[in-house]
Amino acid sequence: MTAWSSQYLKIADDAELAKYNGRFHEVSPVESSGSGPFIMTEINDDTVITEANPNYWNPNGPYLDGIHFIWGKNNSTQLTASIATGQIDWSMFVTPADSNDPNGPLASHPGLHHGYHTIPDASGVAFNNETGPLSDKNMRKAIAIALDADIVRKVIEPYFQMEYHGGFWPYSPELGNYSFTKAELDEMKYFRSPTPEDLAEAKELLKAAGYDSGADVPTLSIIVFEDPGYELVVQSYQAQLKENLGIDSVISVDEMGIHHQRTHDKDFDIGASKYIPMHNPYPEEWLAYTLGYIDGKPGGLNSSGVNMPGFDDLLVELGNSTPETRMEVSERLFDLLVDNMPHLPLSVGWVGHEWWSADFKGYRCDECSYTGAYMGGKWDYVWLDR
Amino acid sequence: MESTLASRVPRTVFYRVRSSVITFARVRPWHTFWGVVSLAIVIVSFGGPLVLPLDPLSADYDYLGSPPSAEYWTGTDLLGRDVTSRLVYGGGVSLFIAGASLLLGTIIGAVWGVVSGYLGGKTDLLSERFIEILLSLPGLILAYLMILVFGDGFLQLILALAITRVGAVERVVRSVALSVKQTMYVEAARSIGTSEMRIIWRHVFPQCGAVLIVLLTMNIGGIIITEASLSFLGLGIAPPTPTWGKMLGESTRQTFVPIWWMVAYPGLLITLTVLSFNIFGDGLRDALDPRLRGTM
Amino acid sequence: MQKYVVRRLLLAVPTLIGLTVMIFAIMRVLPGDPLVAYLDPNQMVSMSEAELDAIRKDHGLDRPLVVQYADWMGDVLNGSFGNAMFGAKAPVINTIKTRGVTSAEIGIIAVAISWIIGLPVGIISAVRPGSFLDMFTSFTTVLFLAIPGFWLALLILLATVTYWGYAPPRVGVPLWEDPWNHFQIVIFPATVMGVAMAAIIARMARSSLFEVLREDYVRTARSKGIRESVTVIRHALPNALMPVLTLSGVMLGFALGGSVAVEVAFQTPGLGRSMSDAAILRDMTTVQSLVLVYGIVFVLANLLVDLLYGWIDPRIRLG
Repeated sequence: MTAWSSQYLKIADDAELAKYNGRFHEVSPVESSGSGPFIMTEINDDTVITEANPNYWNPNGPYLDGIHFIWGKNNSTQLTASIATGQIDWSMFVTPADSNDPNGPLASHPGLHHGYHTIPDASGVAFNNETGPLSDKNMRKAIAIALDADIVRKVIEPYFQMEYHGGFWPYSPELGNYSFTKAELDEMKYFRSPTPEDLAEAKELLKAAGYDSGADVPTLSIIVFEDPGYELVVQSYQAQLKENLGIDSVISVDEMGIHHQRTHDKDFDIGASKYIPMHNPYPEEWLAYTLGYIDGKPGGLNSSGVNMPGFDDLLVELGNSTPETRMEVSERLFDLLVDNMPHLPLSVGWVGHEWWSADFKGYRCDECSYTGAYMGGKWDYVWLDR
Repeated sequence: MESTLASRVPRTVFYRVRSSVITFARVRPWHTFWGVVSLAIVIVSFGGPLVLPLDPLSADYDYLGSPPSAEYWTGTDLLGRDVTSRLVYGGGVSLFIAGASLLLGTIIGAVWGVVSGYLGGKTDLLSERFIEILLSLPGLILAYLMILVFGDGFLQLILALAITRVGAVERVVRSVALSVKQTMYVEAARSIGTSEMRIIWRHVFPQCGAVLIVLLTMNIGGIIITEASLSFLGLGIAPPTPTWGKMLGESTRQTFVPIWWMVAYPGLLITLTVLSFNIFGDGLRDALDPRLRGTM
Repeated sequence: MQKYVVRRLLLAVPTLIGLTVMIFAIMRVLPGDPLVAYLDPNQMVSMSEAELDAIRKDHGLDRPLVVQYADWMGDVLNGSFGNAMFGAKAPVINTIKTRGVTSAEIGIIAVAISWIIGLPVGIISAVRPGSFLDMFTSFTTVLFLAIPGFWLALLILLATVTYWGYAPPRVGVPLWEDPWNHFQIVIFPATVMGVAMAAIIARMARSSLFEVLREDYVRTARSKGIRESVTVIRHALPNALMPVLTLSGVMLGFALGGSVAVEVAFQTPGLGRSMSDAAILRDMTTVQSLVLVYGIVFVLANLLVDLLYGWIDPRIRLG
């Protein structure tokens, strides 16, 4: 729904595409007629207005005359108040604090329905493994040990209401919803809260990299783009690096374009922007997209151009594996990633809360949950009973 | 002989300043009170970090976003950092940024104004057009544009805020310079062949002293608010260094429901600081140069 | 007077032209690639220079700066203000029309509030100088000048939304369609800015009336035995109001600058928020055109103030 109300969702035919020299991203969403259930008629700074498509393939649907999308700040108190006062009929990203509160403003409106979903998006720390101090594998490992994913989760929980899923791939069709449990993660030194032994090992790794103590390490540069959540995360990295290893670091908050240019140019040591949308259920594909090379070029999200010997071959092997051999290949892939430590995954999936009014029919059941990306409901079958 | 003279000069300056301070305090107790408050804020903000028991940058992960308690008097922020320490430390940063940018902007504006007003002619006409362009945008929007150009950072923020002051200061100082230029003693100095630079430096500048002091104290409040607004909008210095405005911005941008102790305290301190500087500045202006009343 | 008006208007033209040059220059030296507004940055870094150049060429970003500037000036003069680089890529004038109305309303209501509150307060203080009431109001006015508008906005937001569960409407509709909706959107930011402006109005009204009350003609009126209230309201006030009136023009600029942070704090669909949003998205066309609009309004407001001063006090226009 969010995607729908943005400029990126549009269906254009060949004639329109030709008008923009075949560049789809420039097609105006209002001009393009589309063939979905709804047609966009107006888009402005506040709203996106869509109307039912009379030429939709299903003659019975959609049941709504149109949808009026209103831009709002995610998880804001204003959003909660808007749904509570009946200004809007449906809303995603309702403040978890209000959604979970049995005495909150939404609970006092018994007609409202509530649903939630877990979305397996992931984020992590990108390391510059080609230039600077972190080009040494030992340094990357030392930092991976010293950074406590649990603290990072605790810090951003109030921001995104994240729930920890852990591991590299929480979802794959062959293995079901496979992910590491908390107990399994606690066995792995890179993914647990660092114990005193872990920190001692991290300091040994620093020595192996040629630094007697953290204070000898040149000041690291941590980059992040303008986002309040990530700004919180990097401040927590900075504090932990100082506390656990004695390493000094400087944060710079850059505008999105500059940030990506800097990751591309390797003008950083630690980047906190590895955002991995796992809407693609095939791990080998999104791994290639985020850490590997596709057709000799870094994958779309591999903006820092991470290049690990043997990684892409293993991905091909994973893609060709049978369900029996798949686990074994995955483990080899996992070992390769841990050995190289190109980035520390702080994999989290977050919980989104949706609320909708009593008149709103044909949507999902009350108090339902689902996992995955926006597989919520079909808007063709939604109607308003009033 | 030389040495006694040299040692006497600062003493007389000291006594003169002391006697004016005493007179000011006797005649204007209300303004003096707020002057003391401003001084106290400055001392606590700059001296506080040296004696604070808690580090404003170190996090306590067991107390993330916890309300005021015996251990953390004004609560903690979302990284478990003590809000009191951050308020004190951030106060120093805010005041330093405000003071430095104000000083820089005032100096640039004053030099510009004196030179432009004194030289007159084509230089003056051209520079006035340029100043008009600088003054044709509201201060906050000008600073916003400048920050977009310079990027986030400590020096960048100071420079951006300084630029917003240049226009207004230039206008006031230029008018003073224009009137000084007409006086007899400048005529006299010129007639005996004193160089222009020397006239500007020795005769015109000292006349702007009172105006400059008043401009500095009167505008510190405004520049603190501008800095806070910029930081609130997400521009300004990079984390983790706090300023009051940045703390306010964090309180809304990092949480769904703004946490009251992250909203209330920085705002209260901004208000108190601006209030005390403004009232003190009012008193100072009336004492130094009553004619300026109404012009700023 | 006519000659003075014409001269001042003519002087404003080069200022505005200079402003456009400055804004344009600033927007072109911004760090970062302007293509970020059109493309996904992730996608951008993996594209080849040739591909990027082709897109730049399509958007006219490869042309000489002078041509681009002339192009923008053409858009400004034909009233479209150029097309936004983000979203529906609609002409910026659409944003100015829809959002500008909201911001203008906020400004007007704020000025009205400032008069309703500030004027009586100023009059009472001037009539009884040195009284407890005078001291109290003068302190309150300084206090309200010191409160950052966006902080007051946050406090109001905390109170209304968190504790009373009230939220103003999310989307502005044209005033004539649903005045109540519009009122709820603008009233909070207008109040926040209005009280700060009321403080300035009260200060100005007090000092201005205080001086007029010591003029000879007021003494004459008093000595004729006219009641004090009549003296103040009928004789002194009209003259004392002139500077206050002109000050309202100055404050329009004050409101313009302050409105950005207040609108962002309230999430009000106004020009200030549009500008802040556009700056975050690096939508250069929108930012430069909105800044220009701010500049034009600001310059015109100041011009109006100067003209009013010249009208009141002929010495100024001769000097």
